[in-house]
Amino acid sequence: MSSPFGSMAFGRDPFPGEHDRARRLCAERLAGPLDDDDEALWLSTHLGWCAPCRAVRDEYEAQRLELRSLRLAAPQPPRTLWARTSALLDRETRARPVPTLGAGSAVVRGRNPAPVGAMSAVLVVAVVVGVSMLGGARILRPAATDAPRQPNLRPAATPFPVPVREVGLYAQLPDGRLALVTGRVHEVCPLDIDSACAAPGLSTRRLLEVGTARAQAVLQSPTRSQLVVVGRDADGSGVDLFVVPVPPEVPAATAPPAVELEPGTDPEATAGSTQPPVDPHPSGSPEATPATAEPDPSPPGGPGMIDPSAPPGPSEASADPAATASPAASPPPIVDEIVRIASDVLIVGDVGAYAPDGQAFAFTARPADGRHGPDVYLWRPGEPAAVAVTSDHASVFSDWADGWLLISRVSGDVAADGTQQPISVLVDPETGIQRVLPMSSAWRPTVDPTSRTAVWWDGSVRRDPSGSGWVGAAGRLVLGDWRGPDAPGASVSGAPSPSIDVLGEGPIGEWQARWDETGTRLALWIAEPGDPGTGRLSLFGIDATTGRIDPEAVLLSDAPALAGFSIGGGRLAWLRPEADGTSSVVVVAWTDSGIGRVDLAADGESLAVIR
Amino acid sequence: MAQAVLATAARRFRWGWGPVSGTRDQDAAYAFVETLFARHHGEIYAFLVRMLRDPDLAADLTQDTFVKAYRAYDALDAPGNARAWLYQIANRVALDELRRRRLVRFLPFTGQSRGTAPSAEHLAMEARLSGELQRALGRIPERQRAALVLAELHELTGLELAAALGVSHDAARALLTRARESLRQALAAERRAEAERSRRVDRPDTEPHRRERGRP
Repeated sequence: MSSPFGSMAFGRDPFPGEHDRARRLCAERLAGPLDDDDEALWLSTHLGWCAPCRAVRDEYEAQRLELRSLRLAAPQPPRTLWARTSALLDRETRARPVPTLGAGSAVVRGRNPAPVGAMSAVLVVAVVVGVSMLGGARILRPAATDAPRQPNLRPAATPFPVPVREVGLYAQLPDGRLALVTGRVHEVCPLDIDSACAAPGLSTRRLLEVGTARAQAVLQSPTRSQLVVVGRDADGSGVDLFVVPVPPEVPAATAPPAVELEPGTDPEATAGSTQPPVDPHPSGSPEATPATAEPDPSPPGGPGMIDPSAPPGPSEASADPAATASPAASPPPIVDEIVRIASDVLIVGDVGAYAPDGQAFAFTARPADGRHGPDVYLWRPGEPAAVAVTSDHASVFSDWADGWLLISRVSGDVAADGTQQPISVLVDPETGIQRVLPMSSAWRPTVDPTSRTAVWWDGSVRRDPSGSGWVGAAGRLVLGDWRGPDAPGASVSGAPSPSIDVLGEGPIGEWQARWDETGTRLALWIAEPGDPGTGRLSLFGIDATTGRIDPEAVLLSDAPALAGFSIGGGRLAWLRPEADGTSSVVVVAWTDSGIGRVDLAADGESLAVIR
Repeated sequence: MAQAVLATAARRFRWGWGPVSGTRDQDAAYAFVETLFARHHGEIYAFLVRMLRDPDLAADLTQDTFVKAYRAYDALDAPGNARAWLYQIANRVALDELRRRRLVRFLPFTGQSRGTAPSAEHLAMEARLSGELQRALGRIPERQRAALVLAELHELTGLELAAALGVSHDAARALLTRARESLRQALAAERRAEAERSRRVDRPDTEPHRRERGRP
């Protein structure tokens, strides 16, 4: 390796004296052979008789090797760094018609309130700009000198009231039952104060016995009358999926005397609040299902259990998807008994999702024995088991879009680097009509409630290390326009516009993107590399005009979070991993005038968030 | 590769190579910085972590670096020098931050709620940065640290190093050589301190025996 500096005079000699000269030359020689032959000869002679200088030479060389070994441990930047940076650049663009030097950006931070010159002045003026830390993550708040007075201007650690925000939680009791708990958040603490906010009371409690060894995830239907419980098999090889009616309430130990029903809870599902907890093995329980299941497409393992190898339901066709898009709006049937809709499977990707009207639940699964890849399954209230919608063993459920199933699948061609190209299709859950979307390399689009924008992986995918699904390889996670099948003038539905926000760059493993019901808040969770269960959660405000991330409203940035969060009703709830291996529930609640957070206490129980 | 990426950006926005002058539109500046970000944000972030030993702060300062690059877009004389130019901005941002730390004393703000522990990522980063070598790097003058980190970990060439440090070629070489000697001495001091700590851990076992032996 030649010297990067070439031959040059050295200027002031920092090593006066013979030995120091030798050491200086030894240091210089690390960058390449000495250019001056006389210096090289002199050094060689000196090192020949001077053991201390040889020792120093050896130390230099060892130190260089040690330094270079640090290259292998290069710190990885946060995946949302571009989203944050581009938000600042957007602000710069708006504030500065022509880029010039000198003015400050509105970046705000906790540990560095005044990083550079003029930026600090801007920050001092922008009083309402907060930099908040939440479990090690920053909360970026907008800078606006003319903004209305915010609740977070209150004194430190002083909570401020918010309209009641409900959070559905569950805990697995020692006897195996699930305790469903509703946390009601009445007040929160400012995000930019490093303080512990008083936890609210956990006001209702319902007991649920599903018969699963361990619940991995619980989802609630849009009507709040059903739950989907993902529970691990007794032998631990796979999971079972149960649909469970919401059980009646029982007073919790910490609950107020007068237990009230949750707003929105189906009165029929909870009418018998004095009834005992749900029968652990009703007629529709796993033991009973084999005798009662009727339209089951011959699944091995018994009726009521899913057979991932079963043929798909509807076949492909080319009819107009708009003609049969949304099923008629009618209340979903009430589930009055536990139904095991799938057993001995592995869930791929996110747990799944109910259709917005609650008429169906879709998810991705593959056999626990790994005999083939994943397919998409659909369950409707009243059916004894989920049925396969795809049979290519290379499809994953992505989202619901205007009543259609949005499914992503990979091509059969595997490139030399192990990557594959994905496609996304819309599938009518009633007829099975499929339409391929003209979204090249789009993987797992998630559409906002207004069907205006979507988040998707734009790039190639590769098999994940476990072999059960796929992860993003080369590409970007983006937010862009979405045109649904009913969009006026959409010759081919689902085409995104070229204008996008980049939310993260590849490779990316698991992620989950969800909007609140208004479509004005987008929560994005991205798994840590190599750990699909742990990741970082961000919350973005969406600009109502553009549908893009409002750079003034990056509300939460890279908060540590376990997989599975809940957003809606003016709050975001998630599990924060703690250093001792436990986790705690964090709720961020917002109103038109402010945002704050609270940690929920559980009296020793390990709570998890109902999604 | 960087040249190719930047050349693509230049073609896209009808730039020419060589010294830039005149007014360019914001889109061009934005696209240029976006390209730079895609290509270099990882190494810029890593450099700032190594300089500051604080991943959260490094992420913030990485943002600052690219925002400053956007503002100073007209000051870049040639896209081919963009990498060194970015490092120069990042280095100045880091030195500004370190200078501010010396001027402003404040209680460390962990960013965590009372009663909560540091995040797993933070702990992992601390473990990664807590070796003898990293501690020794933290003890040498900041400009020397920057020179060593850029040359050995980020593999900047001599010219790039001089540009990134904002000094002449000769001065960069001298700085790097002094840095190697400073690090050698700091490493030796670290190892002496570690040996002393180990000796202190051992002493409680032996000290009481000596006292006991000295008792009447």
